[in-house]
Amino acid sequence: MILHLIGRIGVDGARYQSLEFTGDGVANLSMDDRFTIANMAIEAGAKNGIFPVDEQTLAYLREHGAKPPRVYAADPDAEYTRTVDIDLGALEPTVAFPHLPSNTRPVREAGDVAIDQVVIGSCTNGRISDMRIAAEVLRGHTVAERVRAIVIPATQRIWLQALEEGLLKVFAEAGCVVSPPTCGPCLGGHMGILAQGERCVATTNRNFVGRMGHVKSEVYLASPAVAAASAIAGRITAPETIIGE
Amino acid sequence: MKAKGKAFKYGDNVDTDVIIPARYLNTPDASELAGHCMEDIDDSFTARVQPGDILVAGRNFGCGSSREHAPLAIKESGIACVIAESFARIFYRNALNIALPILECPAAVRAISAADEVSVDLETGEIVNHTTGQTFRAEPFPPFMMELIAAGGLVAYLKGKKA
Repeated sequence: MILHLIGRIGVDGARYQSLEFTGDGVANLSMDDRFTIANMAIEAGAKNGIFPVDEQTLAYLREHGAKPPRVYAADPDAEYTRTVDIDLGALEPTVAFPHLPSNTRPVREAGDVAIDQVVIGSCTNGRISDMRIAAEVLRGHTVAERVRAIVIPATQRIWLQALEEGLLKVFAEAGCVVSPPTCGPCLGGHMGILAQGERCVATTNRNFVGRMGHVKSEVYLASPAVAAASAIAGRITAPETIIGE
Repeated sequence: MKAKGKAFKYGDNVDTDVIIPARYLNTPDASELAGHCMEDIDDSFTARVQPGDILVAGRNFGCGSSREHAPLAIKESGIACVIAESFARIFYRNALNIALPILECPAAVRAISAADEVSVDLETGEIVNHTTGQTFRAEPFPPFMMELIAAGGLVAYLKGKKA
């Protein structure tokens, strides 16, 4: 969803502004989904990505031991620079091609892009629901022979939860490497540095020139489901191809 | 505060990963960082740049990672001022925090070519392209921001206030 939006408004489409997400669709998004969207709002140049506080938000705060919050809401007559409508029901899995997060297209139109590496996780898409989605796709499958698949839960707590739910076993059996929480390959730090000419499908937040290693390597941004499916197929692939419609 | 030098010209969305690639972030040494500044989009930059030169770029300069190393590397490379059509927010803040002068001026960006002789006057916001004879006016910084830049950045500025 957020890649679709960045594709529409550009990497400076919300520069020095706030992106406020409202509507029926938002109410049905999990906190994890909202975190991913808020995380990526920055890639549209925004100062922040914000959501109305609802029962889900309050439950999350209670669960994480936060003090009862003071709740702010947008005024009913608030003025917005711009409104963008997105029909979540009509959204297709989206991938951002090199070398800008706004260089998006539906996975269906990605063409035949063979890949060398997949990175699932990071601050952008490394929450427990992301781990569950990736495991759902990977369960009973094997990562393509030429692909390195690296799974990075965002925090130690999520790592443990994934262990307890048996997700790490699913990843290991599929042939993935499970990393401790780290920025790691996202910024070309360590473990998963791309060599010249290599391509990676990553659920991270940026795909600039040289971001994950060599100047002549390429990063394609996508959701955990698309990344997991692509790891199995060895090329950019929609999850429906692996798990059926 | 005035500067005069040759222009280095780049396009839109110059991101911090190309300004200073992450593989060099394991050092806080500004001169070491400057030695790799811009190398992923212009591998001759560090060899050609001279103190006082001006970096000119399009929209959303400095987008991406919040690394402070990006403005540090540019400043230490000798660049006296960055002129862009617009700046990414975090880069804008980082640049001022470490006292790298930056100006927004789309008209000047469009009219300056690589290697043009350019001067800037930060007090007035005046930008002169000496190669073509054209003059432009950017919004100058308010006095307190000029003080901050003159002090060498936010930390030095606040220390000076405390003393």
